[in-house]
Amino acid sequence: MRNTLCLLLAFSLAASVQAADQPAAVRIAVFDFKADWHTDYRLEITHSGQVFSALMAQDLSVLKPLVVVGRDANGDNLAGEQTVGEERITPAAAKALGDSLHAAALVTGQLFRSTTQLIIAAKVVLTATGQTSGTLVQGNPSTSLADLTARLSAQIANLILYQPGSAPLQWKPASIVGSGGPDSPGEDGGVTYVAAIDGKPVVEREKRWKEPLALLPGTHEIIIGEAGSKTGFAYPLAFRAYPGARYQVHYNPGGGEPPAVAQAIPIYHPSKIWIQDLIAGTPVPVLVVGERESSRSIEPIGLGYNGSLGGGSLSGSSGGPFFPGSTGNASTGAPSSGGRSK
Amino acid sequence: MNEDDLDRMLREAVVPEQPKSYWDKFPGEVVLRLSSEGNGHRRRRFWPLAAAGFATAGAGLLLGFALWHRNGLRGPDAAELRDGRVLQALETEFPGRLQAIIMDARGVRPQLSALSDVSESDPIWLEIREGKERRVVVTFSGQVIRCGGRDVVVLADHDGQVMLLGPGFLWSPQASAGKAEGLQIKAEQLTDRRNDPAKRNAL
Repeated sequence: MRNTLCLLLAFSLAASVQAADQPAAVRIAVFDFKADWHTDYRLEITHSGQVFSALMAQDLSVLKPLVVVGRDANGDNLAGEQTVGEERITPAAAKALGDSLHAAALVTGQLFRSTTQLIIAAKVVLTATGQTSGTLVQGNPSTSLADLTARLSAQIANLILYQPGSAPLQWKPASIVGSGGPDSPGEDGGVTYVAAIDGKPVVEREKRWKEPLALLPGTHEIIIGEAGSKTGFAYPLAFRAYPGARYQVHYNPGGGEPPAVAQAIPIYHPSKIWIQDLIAGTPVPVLVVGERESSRSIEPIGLGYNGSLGGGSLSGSSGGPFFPGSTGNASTGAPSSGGRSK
Repeated sequence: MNEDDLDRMLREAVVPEQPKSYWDKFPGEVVLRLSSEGNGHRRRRFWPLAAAGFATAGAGLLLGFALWHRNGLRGPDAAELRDGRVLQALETEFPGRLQAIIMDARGVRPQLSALSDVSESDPIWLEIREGKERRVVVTFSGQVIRCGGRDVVVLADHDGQVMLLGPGFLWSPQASAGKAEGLQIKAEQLTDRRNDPAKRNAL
């Protein structure tokens, strides 16, 4: 769990560095959310609300000009036990907290779940004035947690960046597409495609690998599949999609293993996968969130919310972890020579 | 004792003298005693008057109770709460301290902060039914009110969507969870009409 939060923070720091250069950066602190269900020790999730707040912080950090502050190297809130969740916070207290964290806004909230719905409510306090507002999102078992979080992040950002008389801000969705095909320089001429997003299998994923798939800005868990070889494979990865960005999944069967990925990918199937930012022309950081699966039997994992939350995991999916610290590894996914990057 | 002895003893006898302090205090003691006795007479006479007074007060209370239930809630009515007149008056009287105005069976009363630390925002109208009890609350986003037997924070967004959030408690027009289920709540964010007579009249 602690390792997972460190990795999540690594994402957050990268985003902060990018956004910190923006002159109009708005610094915000995300406090732990409260969750009313228990933990899953098998998955090392010991505090669902804390994990969700880390995810929330990641998603907010992609929405410029927001910059998430107030988290230490372990991903814990610097504010410690302080909470702005249930009590009324006075303007003086908000200002003092904002000054100590160098934050213009404080964000916290609460998660409610049942077998039929998941509701996430957020509370936002502007530290300059003490003005307090709130918003929520509601999902059913067919809604992914990733999408819920992304939607809530956009709503929170609009509460923070609200300007009277102006239209709500909107952030363009990102897109992701497959690569390869017969003309590909790869060794086997196979196709690398997006097999599933946030626990939802992509329809006709192997045939329609050229079609871009939309992603709300924020953290998503995708399964990258490979067709054309006899075995096939599927790797679950998590990465953070920025507004308007275009991504492409890649597979280089002959490439060397990036060190950070080597431990997570089984050595009997040496391979190399990465996600390329087509606009920036560079690989993006990814988090390997599971082991290799056969592309013939893709199971929903991670950020999908299928309503069966009785087992206690945050996502409650049928077998997939939610950023398990024991297997998670961050990687820059740097391609080596011979890859199919275009 | 013969007659001579008695005569001698009486001649030798000294008239008992009180110390000077005794005679100094004596008038005060007399006045105090007389005063005490007089009060005792008045106290005994008070009870019939008190009984009559209590009876009159009781009759007044009964009459007030009857009028109260005949005419509904006393004081400002819901319309005056809704159009901002009461809000404006209370904010003028308690600048920066008004957290909420509560109207229930006991009447209308303000909920005030000890300090002038309530940030400005558009008022929110809440109508809460818990069993047979009905309350109307006019408050602001970020303030804490009692609902469902617990403290909850009232929150609104810029589109006027209102929700109540507390420990194990969530209510919004779209969804409810936890202890909020079963409560009947109506919520509406009021545009600030306190200082705009034109808007107030348009209601």
